[in-house]
Amino acid sequence: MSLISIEDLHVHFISRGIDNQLMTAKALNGVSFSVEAGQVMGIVGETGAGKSLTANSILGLLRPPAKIVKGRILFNGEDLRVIDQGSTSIRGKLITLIPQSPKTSLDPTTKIGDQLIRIQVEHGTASGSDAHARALNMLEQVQIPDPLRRMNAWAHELSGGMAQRVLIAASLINSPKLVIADEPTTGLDLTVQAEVLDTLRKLVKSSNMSSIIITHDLGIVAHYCDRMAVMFAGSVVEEGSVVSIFKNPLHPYTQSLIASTPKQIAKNGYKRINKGPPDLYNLGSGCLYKDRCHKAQSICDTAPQLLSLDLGHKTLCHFPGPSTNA
Amino acid sequence: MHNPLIELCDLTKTYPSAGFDKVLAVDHVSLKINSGESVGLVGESGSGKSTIGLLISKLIPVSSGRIYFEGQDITDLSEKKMRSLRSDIQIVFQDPWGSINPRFPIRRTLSEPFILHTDFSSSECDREVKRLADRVQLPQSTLERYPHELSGGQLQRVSIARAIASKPRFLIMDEPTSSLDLSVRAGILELLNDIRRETGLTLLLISHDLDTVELMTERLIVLYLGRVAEMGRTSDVLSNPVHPYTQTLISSNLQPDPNVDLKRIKVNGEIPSPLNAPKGCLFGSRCPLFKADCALKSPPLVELSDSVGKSPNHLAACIRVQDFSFKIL
Repeated sequence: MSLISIEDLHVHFISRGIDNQLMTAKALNGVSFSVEAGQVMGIVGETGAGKSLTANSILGLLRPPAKIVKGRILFNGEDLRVIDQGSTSIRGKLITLIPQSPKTSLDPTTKIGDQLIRIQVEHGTASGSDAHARALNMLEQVQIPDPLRRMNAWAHELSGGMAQRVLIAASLINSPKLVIADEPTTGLDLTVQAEVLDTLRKLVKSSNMSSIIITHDLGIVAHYCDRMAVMFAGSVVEEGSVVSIFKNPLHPYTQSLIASTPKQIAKNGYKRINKGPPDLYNLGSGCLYKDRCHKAQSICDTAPQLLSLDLGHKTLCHFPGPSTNA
Repeated sequence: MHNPLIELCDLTKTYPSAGFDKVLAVDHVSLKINSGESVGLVGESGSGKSTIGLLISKLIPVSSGRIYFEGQDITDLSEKKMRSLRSDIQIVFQDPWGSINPRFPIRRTLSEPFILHTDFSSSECDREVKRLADRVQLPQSTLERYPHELSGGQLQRVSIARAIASKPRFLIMDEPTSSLDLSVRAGILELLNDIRRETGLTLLLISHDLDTVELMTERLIVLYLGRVAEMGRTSDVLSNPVHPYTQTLISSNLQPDPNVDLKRIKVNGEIPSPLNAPKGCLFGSRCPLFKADCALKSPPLVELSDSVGKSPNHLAACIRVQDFSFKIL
């Protein structure tokens, strides 16, 4: 059984326009993937593809107008949707989040150490001197120099990389089963980014946790993840092991993403992409990528079936396989 | 040898800090950019790369040193005299949302350069704006829209259109693609490449993305804490980095290919605050090869000698530059 499996998740944003008409933005359109224990999963895709929304759905952080209209999220076989949304027994304890902007995600009015202690007390995992010792130990594990002094530091005294390390410590302090990192290193410098990711991966792997890393940087996925899912317009268009997707990308969108990296441009020249992401308020039928796809034919007006290949490499396309006009 | 288009001599920028302290944002930087060249400027945050862009475009005053444009000293040029040069030196900022007037429709934003720098009639102006929009592949319908109605990629195209409107000779781009999606990014880079080919524009590309710089530039300057650590032809610097900092930077760059091995160089901590920069070599506090003599004095930029597998104009500021045994990668 997978640690977490998402089955056909649909999330809509339902709101009223100024003309009092109901408007529905179909933000997630049948997202399915699963993460095994001990695995690091990378989710890539462009802005608006639904990467963070998927994470927020898992964490039960959706607020109106966002609404799960269909699908299930199973965590250890339990449907997360039936668990009370305000519950602290899973969120923050068994499933934790490393947010995107480290500087704004720490409480500016509480010392670092107290924040780390409070996380444990709130979730009932430790208290008193145990919680203090554990906080200190976590800061050591994420390689913060002079951790005892940092326990008394304020958030504004930390550099970006240091703040991100504190957030990693905070997300791991309750020994979760799943850590979701939402663009964990955007805004950090190259040298710092690599070290923060090294630390994260080492800690996740050493305690057999699972992790979902949301990013738009294919380099991070290539080196820090075991499996990856490529999202487009609220659906997973390709999923598989990192090695097999980079070696043999099947979906035209995955191919275009890889072709857009400067290294590939230097090798093969620019590939023209004419259109932006589709309008979520007015999604067409059939394959959502067809307007941008160079392979699109009339059959693409019907929804493609998920095609499974060996080793769990899956894709959602009528014409999977090597690019024909490469 | 013709005059370089841009020349910086001992350029320094200090910012006042609490008490009598001063922050050295740019520390005695000298460099030349030839006409038609495309030069990359890389470094971590706080390395002074954006400050150099602002100094050259004269948006902030220089503390000491000189800036020459085509041999003419423009360091102390008055705002009024500078105005005629503004059409020649243009800058595109990192954040398109913050650098385009939110209360102007795009047409007005794009007309502004013509109103300022030419005496076009309004119909000529309109025609030029349309041409510009076509040039950067913006649909004509966007001209009537306001910035908040456009996507990031479209807005960055507006920024580029505005910058090339006055037919500049020198274009500074401060992280033009870092806030954009990968597929959108490729389109912007292609556009820049086309514009360069058509107009022979000289480009200074400020970036922290080594892959983008490799694709777009011929020469590369690596900055660390406001000083030049290494410079040379982009291909030389990236394939044969000499300064330990450049080597570290390259080793931290994650190639989007799981089959490329990571050869990570471990450094100590993060870039120090310019307020308590280390003595001598600035990279000393993090350098894996640090020895006591590194802290004695600031290492000068020297050209690599033949024995080091050199190439012309490849310079590095490290006292161990000549003994090549320190190659870490």
